[in-house]
Amino acid sequence: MIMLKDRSKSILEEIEKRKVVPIPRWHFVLQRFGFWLLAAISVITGSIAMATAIYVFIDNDFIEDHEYIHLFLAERPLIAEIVASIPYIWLATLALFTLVAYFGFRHTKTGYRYATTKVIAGALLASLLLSVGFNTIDVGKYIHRFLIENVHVYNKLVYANEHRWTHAEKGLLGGKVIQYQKDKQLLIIRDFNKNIWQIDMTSTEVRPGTRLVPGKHVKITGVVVATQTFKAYTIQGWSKRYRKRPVQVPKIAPIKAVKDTLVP
Amino acid sequence: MAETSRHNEQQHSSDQDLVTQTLANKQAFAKIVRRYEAPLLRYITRLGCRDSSTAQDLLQEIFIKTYIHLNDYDHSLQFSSWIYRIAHNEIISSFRKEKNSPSVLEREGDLFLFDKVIDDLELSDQDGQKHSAAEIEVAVERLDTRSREIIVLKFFEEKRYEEISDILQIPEGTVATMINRAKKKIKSYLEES
Repeated sequence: MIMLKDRSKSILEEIEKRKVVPIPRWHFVLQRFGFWLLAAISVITGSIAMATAIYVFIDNDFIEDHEYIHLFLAERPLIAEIVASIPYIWLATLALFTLVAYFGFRHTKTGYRYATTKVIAGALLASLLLSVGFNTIDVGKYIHRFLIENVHVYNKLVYANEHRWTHAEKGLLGGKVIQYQKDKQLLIIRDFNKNIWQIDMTSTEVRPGTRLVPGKHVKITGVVVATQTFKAYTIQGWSKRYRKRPVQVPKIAPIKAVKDTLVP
Repeated sequence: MAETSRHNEQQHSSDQDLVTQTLANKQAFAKIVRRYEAPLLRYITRLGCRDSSTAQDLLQEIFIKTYIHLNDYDHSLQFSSWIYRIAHNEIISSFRKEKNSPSVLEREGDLFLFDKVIDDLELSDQDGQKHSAAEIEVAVERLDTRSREIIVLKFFEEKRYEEISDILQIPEGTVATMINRAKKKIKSYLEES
């Protein structure tokens, strides 16, 4: 008993000697908030990565636009095309941020009580749901386009549809509309390598729903006729057809004329 | 009379109350020290710290760390789980620092607890005879640190799965898995011997 009393006394003396005081509560509250924030930011970043991955994959012609599929498949079989088109860099980014989210969540007050698999599955599910939301406002598309047009290294990390449409020598040219001179049947675009092209539209089929306005992206088939000049056979918008298919309004028969014929 | 009344009061104050009292007046921390000194010292020894003065130093550090982190104590947790968590982290970190591998659980007072392990794990040799406490002791000694921690908490400290989960900060499911794994290891060591 004496020993017990001595120890509590000696510990209080040691506390006094070291001049230690309890760390304020706000410090721990802030710390926990920091881990929650880390987890939340990681899930959001992961969902942006997933949104971009989904966009890059779905944007492929073998999924969305089969019109020119034979041109691409002439180079390699479909399975190789699909494997090459998986946006590994974005999936790796998603995996990385899922792990960071797990780390953050694990360090919250009761985060340790949940099994690793459940936390990771939850983070992935949250990222997936958020990514679907993000893609309804084209977040994946904007990020992908920004990187492909501005970050040179990014071009080497993904094999996106833009790469397929950066082969003017093979008759496939894609890019952003800079200017459209309707009277001269001339379109000026900037391709994904930032080259400016003049597109001759004198004998071109413009697909329904294609908007030739500055800032819009287009896919053009045709042939190079001179330096940075391309004669277009077809032009179509880059937008996803499944979402932005133009509505065909049926022509209404002239009822009155029919009536006139039937009723003398 | 006054002494007895104070003693009773100390006995009846909950851990949570003592934490609140300590935050208002650090002298109240003495009550926490008195309450947890013996179990924590036992825990330090059971985890493998044989040297008495090292164990005493560790105990002091554990209490000081507890005092410093009192505001981090979550009242939804059992205080004992929380202080054991601090103790556990401090002990393991001390083992790591000194590159000290924990030694045998050899306290005489713990011998009866080995019988508990034998009963709980239903350990018997090929002839159906129960293994001796000494045999179990050798088998437990061979366990890796993590498995030993689990066995110590479950059978020697008699903690529930939920408490072990809070102390080691792992899911309850993992606690169960680790206990099973440790049991299998003990059985295999016994078979080998």
